[in-house]
Amino acid sequence: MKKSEGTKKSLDKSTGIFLCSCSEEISKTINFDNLAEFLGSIPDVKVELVRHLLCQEPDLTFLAEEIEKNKYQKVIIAACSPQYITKIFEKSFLEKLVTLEYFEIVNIREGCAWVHIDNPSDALNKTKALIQVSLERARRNEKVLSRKIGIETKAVVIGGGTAGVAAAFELAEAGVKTYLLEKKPYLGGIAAKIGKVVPTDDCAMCTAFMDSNNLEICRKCIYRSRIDANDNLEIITQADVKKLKGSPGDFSVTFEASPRFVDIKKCILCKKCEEVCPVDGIKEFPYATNSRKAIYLPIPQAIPRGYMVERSLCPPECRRCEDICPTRAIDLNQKEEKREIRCGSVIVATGIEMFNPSPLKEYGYGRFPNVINQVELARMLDPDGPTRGSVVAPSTGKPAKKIVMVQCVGSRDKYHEYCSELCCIFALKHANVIKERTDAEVTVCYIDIRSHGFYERYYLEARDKWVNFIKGRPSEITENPQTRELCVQVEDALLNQDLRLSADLVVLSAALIPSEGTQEISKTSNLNLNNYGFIKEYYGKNRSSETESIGIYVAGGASGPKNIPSSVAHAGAAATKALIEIKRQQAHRRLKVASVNDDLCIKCEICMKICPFHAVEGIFSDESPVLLTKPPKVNELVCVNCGQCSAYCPTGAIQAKNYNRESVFAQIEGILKNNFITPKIVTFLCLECAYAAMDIAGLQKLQYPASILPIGLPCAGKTTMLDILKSFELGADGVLVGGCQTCHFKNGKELMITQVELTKSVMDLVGIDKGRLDFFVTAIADSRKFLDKARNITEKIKKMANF
Amino acid sequence: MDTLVKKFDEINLENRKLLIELIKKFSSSGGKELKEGNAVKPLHEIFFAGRAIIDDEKCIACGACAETCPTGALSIRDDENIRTISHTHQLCIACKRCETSCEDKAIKIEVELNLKDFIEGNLRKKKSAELKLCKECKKPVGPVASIARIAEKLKEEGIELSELDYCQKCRKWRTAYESVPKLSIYLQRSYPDGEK
Repeated sequence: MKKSEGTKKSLDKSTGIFLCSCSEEISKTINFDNLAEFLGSIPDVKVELVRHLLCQEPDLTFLAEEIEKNKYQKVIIAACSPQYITKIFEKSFLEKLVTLEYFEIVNIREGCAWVHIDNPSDALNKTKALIQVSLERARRNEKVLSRKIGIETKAVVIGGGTAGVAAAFELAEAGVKTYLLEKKPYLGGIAAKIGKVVPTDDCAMCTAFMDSNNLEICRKCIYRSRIDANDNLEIITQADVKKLKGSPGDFSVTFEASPRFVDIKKCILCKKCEEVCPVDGIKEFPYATNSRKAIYLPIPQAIPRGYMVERSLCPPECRRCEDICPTRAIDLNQKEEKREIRCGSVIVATGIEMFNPSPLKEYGYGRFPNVINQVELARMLDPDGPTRGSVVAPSTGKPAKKIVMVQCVGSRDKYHEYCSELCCIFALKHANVIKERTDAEVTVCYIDIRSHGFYERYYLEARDKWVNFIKGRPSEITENPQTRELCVQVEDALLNQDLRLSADLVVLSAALIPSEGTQEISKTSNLNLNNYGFIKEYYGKNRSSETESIGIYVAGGASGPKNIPSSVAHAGAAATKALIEIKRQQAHRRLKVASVNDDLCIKCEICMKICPFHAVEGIFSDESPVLLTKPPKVNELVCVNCGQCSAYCPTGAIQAKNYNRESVFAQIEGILKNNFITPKIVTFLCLECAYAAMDIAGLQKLQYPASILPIGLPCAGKTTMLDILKSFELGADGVLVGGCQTCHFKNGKELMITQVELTKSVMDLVGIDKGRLDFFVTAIADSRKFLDKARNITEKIKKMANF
Repeated sequence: MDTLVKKFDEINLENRKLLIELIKKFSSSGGKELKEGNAVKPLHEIFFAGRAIIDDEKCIACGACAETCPTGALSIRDDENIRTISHTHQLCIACKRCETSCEDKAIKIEVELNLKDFIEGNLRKKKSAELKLCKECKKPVGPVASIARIAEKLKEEGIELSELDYCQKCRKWRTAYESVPKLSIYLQRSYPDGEK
């Protein structure tokens, strides 16, 4: 290209195309002279000299100088996969010289030269088509604005069980102002009720905390480390979360805290109030040997340390405790408090609870007093518990002699299909403790003993202690109405024998299910749940402490049954995630997000329902609480621009940024225009896994037909019947759609498959051979799937008559 | 009551329009004639197009579904003493707002695509209900079942209203007569007969 020409038309030639020969790797297959000639004929384009290695010096400097000299507004680099080189260009010059949206990389090495080695003419055609697609895209792309967001530096942890305490403690230790909200009057959750826990066989409140102010002493329990004394940690008990809303970095948690009637800071635990309290004899269980009064210390190790009043039991006008309190800590007129906390991250640690097995009528839970569950047994075994550590038959209150445990009650059956993970070890541990303390006979009826990993030692120990194991699920438990003695009917599957076991105590290892708090929080905060009702993790493999709502994290049993060690580890991970978010203090967000055209919107709410991240938010008024009256807004901090909304918008009011309908149509036109490849198969690929799988195939130089003409989309779920039929109208001989094995935007895979299948049926009805359309789903590592489909569909279409 | 029938061209269903044009084009060139009842069901529930099913026993023809329908796929027509609720498959986007708005769960949207109706935009009659006529002027007040429901609800609150037998216009006049007799006499004088 001559210089004189360049200066004359410099204003018109606003797009610069740079071709990289990649040290002849590309140019040995693709005829660059022919290519440059073709591209030069496009009006607003200037083709730069072919360089050998654009990704390295000195060509990088050359690139920057050329862009600056010619004042290119749009730059297209035809080279290798954007996966490798985008970052290099970004670092060296991109930020200063060109707007990111006006910069395109065309993958002509892995996407063309390497995979069509035997077919140079088609490879050249395909290269032309791919460059035209990028041109169309660059022409239509709009500048993406960015926004700086301040992040609130506080954190809220909802739920003060094992996981919640662990997460809150880590955050507070890291210097973050943390609020720990607990529904009960004290911390510890289920674990606080259990005397002895696995795998260390000591009390549950030990959660291995280390007080950073006293590094020389490793304080290992929440009681001794006094986590309530940490300045950064505010523990709010008896809190009921009413609302959780907001966007990443700026959440608002609204809750109501019920009154405790005792000022924790003033209470000195002197017990004088308890002595004068006239209300006595309140028992945790009917068979309990100890009782409490209306004013009481919930558990001896309770944190926060202080008495509390069960106000509903107080006799009217009784003020005895208030009068006697030496520190004036008691105030019986305390009112409920409503508060709102703004915070940068939220950790949900609402935990699990035990399934109430009364629907299993054959086991008689709730009908027979001597049938209890494992948590109740744990309470009995707790030395501070209702029976002071002795295992009794509730009907008589006398020590139980024959104990039968039934495993998998309500799990691995029609009630809950999953395995609750902990019950086997829970039961084995209890069997061992009973054997240690008494000479009772213990029998465990199991389906499979799942004491995974090192927990096997509990099983071995139980066997050594002569705990009986019977493989079989009991069919029925009956009771002798006079003696209250129970009879467990079970078929021993190993001996093939029907057994009738007599027992004075039956313990059901009931399933572990999402706690009430977990169910409530999902409603108040719009968190997604998994099939079993637990809070859904963002991604099960490596992002299990994040929820699908960005900025809200999940710790412990709220996302599935977990024992104490896993809960604490999970909480640590969640705390780290929250900490990273908060410590940034300021986030830079490129607002590459969908937008709603209010004039076109018909308020059908489809986008709100389809958005996988609830980023499309409608404003509901009191007059119309269910149906939308104004066009919805896109939450710019949550939207990921996947485009699923735009695929289902009937009017085209909501459009993904830089992937709107016109842009996609123009790309389809660009890839098919002046294209002499036969057959032409437009291939819509999700830019996440599907496109990358094609890249990986290219890297390995695996050959496939040049008929495959790829167009990248942010999600396969964005592909619609309209796009597919439009491709056919514009001259495509076939269409292939590629999605990811696990959709990065939740439902994209299913949406794509549904659309493709529906389109196939429509094609059949209107007289297009449905063999011309196909789809595949793949993981990056599984590029074979892409290759198979690509070869298969090309062969099929070649055999068909011309379209 | 006004009829709520909207025409396809009046509504801004741009994506839908393009799709229908494309299908029409292919169908005419493909030479295949579309038959009745060529319904295609998607694999999963998606927001695409649907067929309305109205439970005749539950439906009281109140018209809430048509009011909330964002595209006008559900339409109401009052002729003489009969109300007809119709559904246009072409306009239906299966958003199911009608299901949300229906208190009696009488309407259900079955997600499916019926190509003939989809292209041609046929109106399918789904429900016809008798209308209650005004005691005074014999103009329709509302569907019989719907008015009965209102009366029932008011009764629960301890209210009984004779106004339900009259149309909106006559209701105003009656209220005026009862509450301010003198004023009504004056009004009657100033606007003799016919205006009522």
